[in-house]
Formats: sequence, C-alpha cells, structure tokens
Amino acid sequence: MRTDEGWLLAMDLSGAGLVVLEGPGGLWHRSFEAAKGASLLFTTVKEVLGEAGIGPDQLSVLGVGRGPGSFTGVRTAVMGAKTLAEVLRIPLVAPDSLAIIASGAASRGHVFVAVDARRREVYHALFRLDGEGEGELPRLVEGPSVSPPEAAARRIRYWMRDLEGDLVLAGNGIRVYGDLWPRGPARRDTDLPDPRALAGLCRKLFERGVTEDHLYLRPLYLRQPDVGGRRGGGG
Amino acid sequence: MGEHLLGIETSCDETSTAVVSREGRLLSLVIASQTDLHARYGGVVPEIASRAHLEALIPAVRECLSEAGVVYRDLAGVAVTRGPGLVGSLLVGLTAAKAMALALDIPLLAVNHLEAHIYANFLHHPGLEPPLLAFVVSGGHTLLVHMIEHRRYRVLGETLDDAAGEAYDKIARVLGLGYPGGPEIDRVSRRGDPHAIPFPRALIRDGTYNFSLSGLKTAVINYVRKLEEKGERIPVEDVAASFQAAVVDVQVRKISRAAEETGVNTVVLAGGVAANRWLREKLEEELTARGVGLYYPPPALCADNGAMVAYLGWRLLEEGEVASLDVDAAASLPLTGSAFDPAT
Ligand SMILES: [Zn+2]
Repeated sequence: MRTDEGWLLAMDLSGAGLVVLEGPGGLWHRSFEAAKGASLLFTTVKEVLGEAGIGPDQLSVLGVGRGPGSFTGVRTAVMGAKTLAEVLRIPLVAPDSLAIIASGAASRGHVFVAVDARRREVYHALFRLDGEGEGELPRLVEGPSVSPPEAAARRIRYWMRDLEGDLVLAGNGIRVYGDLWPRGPARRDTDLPDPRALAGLCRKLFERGVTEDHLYLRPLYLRQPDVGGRRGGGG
Repeated sequence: MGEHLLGIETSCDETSTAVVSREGRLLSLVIASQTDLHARYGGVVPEIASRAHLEALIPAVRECLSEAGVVYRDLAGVAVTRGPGLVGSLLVGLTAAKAMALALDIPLLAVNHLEAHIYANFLHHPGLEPPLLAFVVSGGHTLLVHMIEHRRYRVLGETLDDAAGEAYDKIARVLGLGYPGGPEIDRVSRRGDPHAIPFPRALIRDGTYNFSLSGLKTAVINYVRKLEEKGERIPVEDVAASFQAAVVDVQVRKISRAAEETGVNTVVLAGGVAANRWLREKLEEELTARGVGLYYPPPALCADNGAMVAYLGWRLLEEGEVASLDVDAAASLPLTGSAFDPAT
C-alpha cells in the first residue's frame, strides 16, 4: 500500500453504491444497495473515515465515478464529490464508471464492459489495458454508448475478429443478457466495481494529473432526459 | 460558532442559495431560474431540472457567500429543503448540504418547503407573530393553514385536485400565453372584464376550506374550444380575467371565513402565486373591511428561494432539530410532519 500520497476518498453510485478510502496503512470500503445510495452515501463516508481514524480535512484527493449508470445515483455521487472538493479545496478525479469495472476485471488485454441500463439497453464500452505498469490507464477503444444489447453484442463480435490478446466480458449486462454475448471470452459478472480498482484508477488519474475542475464536472449521462413526465411549476 | 447560516433550495426549478445571519438578517440571496429550460415543454421536466441544479448549485453557493462576505468556515450550519418537491431535484441540494455538513462538521437542518414559504413572512416582517392564517399557494400547492404558534399548524383545507399554479399554466397554454402561466394571466387580466364570463366557482359554499380547480379548468377549455369551432375570436383578456376572478373569489371567500372562525387578525400569503396581484388586491379589500391584516413577502421571497430555508433553518437549529446525514428527500411531506420523520 502506498504511504506517500495521503488519503484518497472515492465513490461510485452508478450501480450499487461503493465508497473507498485508501491511505497510509490500508484500504477501507463499504458497499450499499443502489436504491439507498442517496441516503447512505454520507453516513458511509463518515463510517470509513471513522474506521481509519481520520477527519475529512485530512483527505488529499477525491474520486468519483462519473457514470454512465443510474441518473440519480451518478448525480448524487458527482454532486457530493463536487461539494467536498469545493469545501475541502482538494483535487478531484472522475473516471468513467465503465472504466472502473474494466480495470477491476483484468490487468492486461481487452475488456468489454456492458452494464444493464434498463429499458432493454446496456451502457457499453471496450477498453484496452496495457498491464500493471505504473500509471497505466484503461484506454478506450470504443464507446461509451447506450444501445440495445443485440447492437452491443454485434459490436463486440465485430471487434473480436481483430483483437489481439485476452478478452474479458464484464459488467452486470453480461449476466442479464447472458445468451446474446459471444461464447469464448472469460466473463466477469459483478454488480459492484472492485474497491481496489476504484481506488487504483483514481490514484493513477491523480498521478497523471488528470484532475477535474469540480465547478464544471458533469455526470456522463449518455441519454437525453425523458421529457414525458413534466409537472406543474414550482413557486 | 459561526453567525451565518447557508440556505439551499432546489425543490423544483429554481436553484437558490442565501445567507441569513443569526439575528435573522438576509445578507445575500441568489436565485438561478430554470424557467427558460422548461418553457418549451409547458411545465417542469424533472430530469432537466435535476441536471440544471447540479450545474448551477456550487456557483450559486459561491456567489451568495461572497456577496455576504462569508467563507465556508464561518457557517454555523447548512439548511436545505428536504421536501415536498421533485425528488431528483431535492436530492441535488440535499446531497450538497450533507457534503458541507460533513466536511465542515456543522449541523444539517432539513427544512420543510411549505413551512419555509410561511416563514418567508417572518423573515420579511420581523414584528409578525402567530396566531395567524397562512394561505400557501404555488405551482405545486394550495393549502389553508391555521398557524397556532411557531411551528404548530392545523391544516384547514387544501386543493382536491390541481394546485393553482398548475391550473394557471394550463389555461395560459390554452389561451396562447407564455409560461409560467400565473404572471401572464395576471398581466393580461388587467385589460379584461372579470364579469364577462360566469365560470363556475367550485366548493364556494360547501362549508369546507378545500379547493377544486379541475371543473373550472374544463369549463374554460370548453369555452375556448367552442369559440374556436365557430371560428370566432377568443377574447383572451376577458377569459383570463374571468378565470382569475373565479379562482380568486373562492379563495378570498374561504380565507375570510377562516379568519373569522379562527379569530386571527393576521393573514399571510406564501408561495409563488402569492405574488398574484389580483389575489392580493381582492383579499386586501375583504380583510381590511374585517379589520384583519394581510401580509406577504416581496416577489423574490414568494418564489422558491434559499432565504426562507436559511431563516427557518436558524429556528430548527435553536430548537435542536438537527438532521442526520441519512435524512431522505421526500417528494411529499406534510406541513405538520417533523422535518425528519422517518414515516414520511
Ligand atoms: Zn414553493
């Protein structure tokens, strides 16, 4: 475990909720149900800080999964992280949530990530990982996009003809639409990003200087708002 | 302990922040309205509202802090609207407030939006005291409330169907007027004859304090359609004025009767539609004749705003009603419900 770069707090609520604290001497993490993300995010943050015996003012880097995923989940995580960065005046990194899944699924080769987006669609992207080398980030080969699973499956079949090295299929979309995906590649089926992957990816982004201006950070929604459900004005 | 409280309001389509001092003085107020984003849909689109809040909130907080000459470390607490409202929108403000409470180790005050609207009156009229009657009327709510003492309410009546603001929006659309409908209808009505068309006054003599606008809405729409079918010109001003007169007639009648029955000598208006001039004038006429005082906040404090939230937040803080970090947003939250009642 690194001991030289201070405390990193990272969160992702694109699917189920995950909070990770990494710092001198350890890694603390908690997961919680997606539906309770909004109410549990900050009690969870408080818990992991308490376990590590530090206060929020001792944090030195923040990380947040910027989506795609549940609109409300991603928005809660991004708004929470933006505000912490604003008040604590510390840097913020914001990996794509699909990249977090990719870097938890393999350390080298290609990873195709598909996450259930409901309405019979998946959020998907294809990444290439170049090994454990210091500071290597998952490289985006294609995506992220939102499509019907059949269309996503056609994309990965198309790419499989040319890809060299190992291929892993990851994300809960692989389970939900199990029969659609090509046979052969290894499958990593998880509803939750790997805590070490979330912390590790945020740490790498920070080392590379890929930080966000928290004032302008927006979630990666991929979908337009549904304008069907309009309501009366406020006031 | 700090001497300033930050208020955050994101329950619908205004991103608003304010700083109120311990003595109850409003030091700054920022209202970033999203009206333009929603105008083309003729109503608030929840997902668009949530997205806009996320982008506007931190700049709005910065602006109001700097205008008040305050930094984060000066804050005694952060007050935020918990409900009622659009859940996605509420969550943006609530999440930011929780993050601040955690990062600064200050109390989180979870405010009821309807109660905050009523308290906008105390913020603006410092001498005001309960008991009084509050008429909360906005895009989402129509509520007649007997405020017995501070923070103790008896809801006398409410709308059985549409909130006034919703009905105004709908009728404005039918008449080809702009959005939001309330101010448009109020403006156009000035040139119209309120007695031109005898629209129905629902529940005017039913003995309750409830309101109903769906029948009136249908009557106005049918009236306009009939003229359209006959190819006749629609007297927009007269329709608007007659519609508004029908709405306000019932409101004035019920509010004055409630004032008489409860024996209060003060009535306050709260919520966005409290800025409606017709309502104010007619109500003032009626209440003055009965020796009852009418109060309402200036337009910026009638609209959804962070000032009322911060102001009420101070009272919650003084009463020790501090929320925990897992408090939920609540789409519907009764006025009488505790601000962090888990059952709501
Ligand atoms: Zn309101």
